Amino acid sequence: MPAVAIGAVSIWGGTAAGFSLAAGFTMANVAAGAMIAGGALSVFGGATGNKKLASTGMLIAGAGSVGLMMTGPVSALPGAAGGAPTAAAEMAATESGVMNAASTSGSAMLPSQAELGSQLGVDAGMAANTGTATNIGNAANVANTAAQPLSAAARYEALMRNQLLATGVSGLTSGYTGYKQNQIAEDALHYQRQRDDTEYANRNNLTGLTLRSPSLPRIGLINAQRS
Amino acid sequence: MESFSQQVQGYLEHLNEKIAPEDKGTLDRIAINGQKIMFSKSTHKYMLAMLDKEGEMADKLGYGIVELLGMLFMQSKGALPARLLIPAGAVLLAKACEFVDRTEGGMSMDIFADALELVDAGIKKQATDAEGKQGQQGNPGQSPAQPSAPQGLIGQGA
Repeated sequence: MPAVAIGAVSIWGGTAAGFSLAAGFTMANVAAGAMIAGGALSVFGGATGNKKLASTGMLIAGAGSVGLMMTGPVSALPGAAGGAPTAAAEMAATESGVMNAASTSGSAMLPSQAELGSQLGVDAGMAANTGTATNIGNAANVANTAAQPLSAAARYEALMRNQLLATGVSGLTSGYTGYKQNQIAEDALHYQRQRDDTEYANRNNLTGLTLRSPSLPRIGLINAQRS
Repeated sequence: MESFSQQVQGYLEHLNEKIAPEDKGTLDRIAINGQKIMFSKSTHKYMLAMLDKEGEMADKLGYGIVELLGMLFMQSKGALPARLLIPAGAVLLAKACEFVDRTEGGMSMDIFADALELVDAGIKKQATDAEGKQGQQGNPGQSPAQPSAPQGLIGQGA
């Protein structure tokens, strides 16, 4: 997340030439991971009765893959050359996966195919350009006449265009060299406390407070300001 | 009513069940290195700066995670398995959301889902662009095998 500080363009866009040739960085391999993460979200949504999570998970995973996700670990994702056709074939072969999922995990939690098709419309257009997701293309046909909310893809494009989160700071990558694993939790707590202090100060109109110096005791700062 | 942390932990358990055993070690290393960047003393300020920006929290979180994944991918010199990018994004997003929840509150699984959707869209956008560039450079449809053992940042472990 903090990598955002490098700038909206600098990480992915700034190295596009070399990055685009990275071995295995294909839509098919990426989609294989999306099936896992989205499938897990869909299952979680179904289990907890959250329809939004279920539908979003299905959208991320790809509609046809949901039936697949109801099974155990996805071992058929080698990620190499064989991974793409395998994943694509599984997705295409499980076109009825939505219904299978519905019968096993609570159909009331799952969106209708029309609803899902609507949500898939924009992603389908992107996938169709690569020719890797024919079943999503079918879903797009369902969505042709449906109203389109701003999709995640469109939101991402807008963020890129606006560079909403860019700060133009570089050199981030050197900052964590040698960082110890066991420091993570400690530092996360440290920053959590700092942020707590900031929130406290803001709520209580405590101005001029320097809360982000890790060398200063937290409580002392608050007490000093109060006095 | 479960806390957000409990809920997101429930999701991560579902996610972990779906990860192939041979990928779990690599996914753990990606998650650890991503958290190092998020919480390193020298870089955490950027995370805070991002959180303080205007905009929807889900957008800020999702976009930031895409950028973080991009940096991890580059640090691995392309050895980070592409199939683990989005699962790793989900794990790192969960950690980031937990941080926000503990410091600001107001986090929900709906926001998490919106952010994860953005992560998915962002990574797929990059993949689409990358495939387009590969095609332009004479490698249409080529999908070379990935290295079995990640190198660089991801491969160095904790």
